Amino acid sequence: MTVQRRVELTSAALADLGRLKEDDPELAAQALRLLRRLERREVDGIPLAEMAVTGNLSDCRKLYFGGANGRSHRVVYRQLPDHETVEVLEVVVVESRSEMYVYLLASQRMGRLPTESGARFTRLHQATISRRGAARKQGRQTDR
Amino acid sequence: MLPSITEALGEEGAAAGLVVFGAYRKPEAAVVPYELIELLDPIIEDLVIAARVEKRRADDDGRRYTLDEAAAELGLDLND
Repeated sequence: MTVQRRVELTSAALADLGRLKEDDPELAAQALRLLRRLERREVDGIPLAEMAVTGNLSDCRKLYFGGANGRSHRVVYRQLPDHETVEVLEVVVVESRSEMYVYLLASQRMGRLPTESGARFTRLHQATISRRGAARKQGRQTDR
Repeated sequence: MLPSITEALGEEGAAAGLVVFGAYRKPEAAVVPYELIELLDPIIEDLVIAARVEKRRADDDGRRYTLDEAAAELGLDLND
């Protein structure tokens, strides 16, 4: 018997989707549809690499979506234990994979960004904010 | 020196490994073949995800939303 699946989002993952919707509503809708397909067992994520430094993340998987190559963004989810009748998948993160910016942002948020990388991060961060602002402005003009 | 390093990296790709620079036996910087960076990318990504998940677990408020609730909250149609 196939155990039924249920996908749940944490508050932070829902906030991620809200931000994604502000940037690109179609991409946010695409993410939700992908999660529905996950719930229906039509797709499954890729397990994370096992590394001593990351601790036990064997319950976590990642799924890609968006962009021309279908890999511009990712969803990270956990398979919760001890659900015998329903398999619960908890979505923890929905985010862009925009290469170094994401790495730098994560490092900066964790307070691990080396001082000498600060200026480069600030430039990238400002460029990203400007790009998002321009996209929003363009969206508003299109709406009129 | 840099042209010869670039040449070696071009010839050997990822197999060239790292070229480490430093002073007084202390490593300060490294040149990494781009081919090696591409191979490392999934590993770096998983390290970033691990850090993200750890942070999210620490900040979790315990609230959960089903897909229908999330779609309603965001004003998106799941059946588009």
